[in-house]
Amino acid sequence: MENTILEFKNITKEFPGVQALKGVSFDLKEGEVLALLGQNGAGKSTLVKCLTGANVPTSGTIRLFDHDYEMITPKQAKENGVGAVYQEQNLAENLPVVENVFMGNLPGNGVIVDYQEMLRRAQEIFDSFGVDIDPKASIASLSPAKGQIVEIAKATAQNLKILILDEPTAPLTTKETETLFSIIRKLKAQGVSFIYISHRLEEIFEICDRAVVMRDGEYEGETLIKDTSREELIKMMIGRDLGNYIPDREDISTDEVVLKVEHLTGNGDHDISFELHKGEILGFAGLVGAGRTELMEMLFNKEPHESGTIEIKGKPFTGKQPWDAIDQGLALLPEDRKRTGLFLNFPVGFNISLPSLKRFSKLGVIDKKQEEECIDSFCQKLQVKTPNYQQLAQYLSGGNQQKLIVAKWLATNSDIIMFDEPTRGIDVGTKHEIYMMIDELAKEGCSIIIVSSENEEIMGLADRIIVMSEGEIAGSLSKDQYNKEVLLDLASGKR
Amino acid sequence: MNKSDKIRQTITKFIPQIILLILVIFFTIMNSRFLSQKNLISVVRQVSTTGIACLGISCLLITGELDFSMGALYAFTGVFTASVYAKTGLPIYLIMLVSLICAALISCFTCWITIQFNVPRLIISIAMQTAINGLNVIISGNKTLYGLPDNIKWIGQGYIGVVPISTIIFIALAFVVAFMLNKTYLGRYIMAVGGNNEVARLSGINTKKIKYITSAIAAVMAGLAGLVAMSRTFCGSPTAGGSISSDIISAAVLGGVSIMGGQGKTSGLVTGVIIIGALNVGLNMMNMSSNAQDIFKGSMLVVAIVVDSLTKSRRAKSKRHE
Repeated sequence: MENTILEFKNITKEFPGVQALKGVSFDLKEGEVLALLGQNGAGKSTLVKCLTGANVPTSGTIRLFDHDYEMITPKQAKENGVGAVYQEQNLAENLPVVENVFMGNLPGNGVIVDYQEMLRRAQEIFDSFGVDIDPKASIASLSPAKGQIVEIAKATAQNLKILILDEPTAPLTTKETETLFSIIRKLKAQGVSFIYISHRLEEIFEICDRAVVMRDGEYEGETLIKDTSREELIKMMIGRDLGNYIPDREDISTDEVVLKVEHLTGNGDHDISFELHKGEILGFAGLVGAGRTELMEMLFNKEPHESGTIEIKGKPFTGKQPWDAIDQGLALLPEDRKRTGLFLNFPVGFNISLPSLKRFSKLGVIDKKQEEECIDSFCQKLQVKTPNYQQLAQYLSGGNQQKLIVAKWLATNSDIIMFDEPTRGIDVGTKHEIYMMIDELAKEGCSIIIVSSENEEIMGLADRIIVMSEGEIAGSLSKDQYNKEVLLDLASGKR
Repeated sequence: MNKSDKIRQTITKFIPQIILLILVIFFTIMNSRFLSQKNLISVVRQVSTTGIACLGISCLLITGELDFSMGALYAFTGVFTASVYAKTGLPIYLIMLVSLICAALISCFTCWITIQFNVPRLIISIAMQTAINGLNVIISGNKTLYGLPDNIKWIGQGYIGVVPISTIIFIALAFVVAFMLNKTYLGRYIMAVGGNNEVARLSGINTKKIKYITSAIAAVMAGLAGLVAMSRTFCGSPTAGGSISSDIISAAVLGGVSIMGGQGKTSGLVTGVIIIGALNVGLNMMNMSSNAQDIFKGSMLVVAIVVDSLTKSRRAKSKRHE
């Protein structure tokens, strides 16, 4: 563990108008799992892209296995055994696993590919990982977790020395995360080093040896994981004390039932019944794939339900389309906000007013003044940080994008708001703001459903938790029953 | 943002205008009569019919649907009107109205197939183009139909002062479309559907309805352009559609309407239409054969789409850097 195999020396990177890296230096040792931490925009991705060859540093050197490089080409990165696995998959969907593992690196004599050899070696890698993946299966038939393992296998097949993992666990269930960690430990024992980027601090403490923290493009400091605490890391990342990370919530929910679901079946879920009260924050916990997102989609009429009834404020829910759901006061903030929540290429104002336009229109013509007043009031209320309302949504930070979607729904007078993984990919400081906002919304009389895979988040925010497992409700916990083990047992169907 | 970025942005913004300027200079050098009043009016008149059709197809392009059957519908209204008038002698304006309604229904049928069976509009519209062209030949008996009444001549042949009436119709419709796209919620919805269909649906927009509406708008405008052309040539011809489909798509894309959907301004569009018109007239003045012109115009569509894609990817790149 003492051999330094990689050293960033005073790396700077300028993009037109932005200095993304301002002289970053740190090193990586053989067989080490190094956590690279920082808020969004701290420069983590820019830095690792200098190592994979996707970015060329403006100045500084990278020392890799006793060679100094001013820039690394993607080819040199590959030859030196640098691999990377990103949150988004980088595989050819329609090809079989084995072709993906050896893509650009096919065994054989240069003319004819030795397919049997490929199959044998792929199988060997998966066996060594202790996972069951059929090398002949197509990527499209695999779960995201297995896809990710294929990506790691692909890196391993190419003389892997350094593996960059960028938010690897975001799409994984707890059990799959365990599998990933065991693979990391095995590779680590073989001398592979890791640069591990994640917003989930629990994982950092479980798998990493050392943490380097970046802030605003600068090296902020480093610490051994065993010598530090969660609070200390957060403080280093955001540069100040956060105080109470999740707001202390008083349960102010009333007896008034605003949403009553009975025996709802469809979209992969069976026989779901629950009630949501006015002013309540109701959490839906469970593993990835437990059917929580699917339930939200049915409630919002994104997908149809087969049987069962829904009542809103005592009246039966009518209509089969999302606009019917919106008319009846429902709002959905989807899990994948970039793809299904926002018009990234359109201005902030456009995004906010779109669902409410009819209200501001006379004979189909939009009243610009009324529209602007509305956009302005909700941006102020939620403190959406944007230079102006003409700014394209894509340039906003993840947290501000989330606020933007909330603003859009508040403008439609929605009062039953469903958040699906509201803080996915959002950094620590902004998470705090989102929690405050959700708490505030409940205080103002909105009723809220939160789907979250982060136990800490859901136990901190929700007044009551429903746990789902395999498309069914596995149990329900009131605040005094909250307990991580119980949650996990229910979610994995043990109780 | 530094100075060179700003200059590049400005240039990107005015690409259609710049292309037009280069063309005008080129044709003027080749033939000094290009800028004569008589010739300019000829360009403008040329532009008016394709322009009307182009306004329509742009609404459809903005929703992200590419449709190549508009040329056939352009010929359809003319053939239908001339044929029905010759056979029945019903009031001509009534027949014209019915022909427009038929065009809209045909286009909505294309839209229905696309939505119902989830297939690409581009392919279906090419099939529909062939089918409608066949229909045109049957209706007309594969002849050019004459014998239209004199009272419709004003549409395609009339002038107010030096300005052709068809041009006035085009300009009026351009204002209507600009108003619709910028000031009404229908316009916003059209942009939204093209920007991201799923987000639009989840924002409560009836995306299918929007696609039917824009299909109908595109067909009515193409049909209207066909009727103006019918009035000018004073006959209904089954081959009138010619290269209209690719001309109007070229004009729209040159004018900044993205074939990926979600983008488009009427001002750019009008410029795009003028570019195509200037090309038609300018190449004629150079005595280029119509086949050679087709090569030239085909290349124009390729250039337009490449430019569209380049400006897109540059935008995406600068986004990644932030």
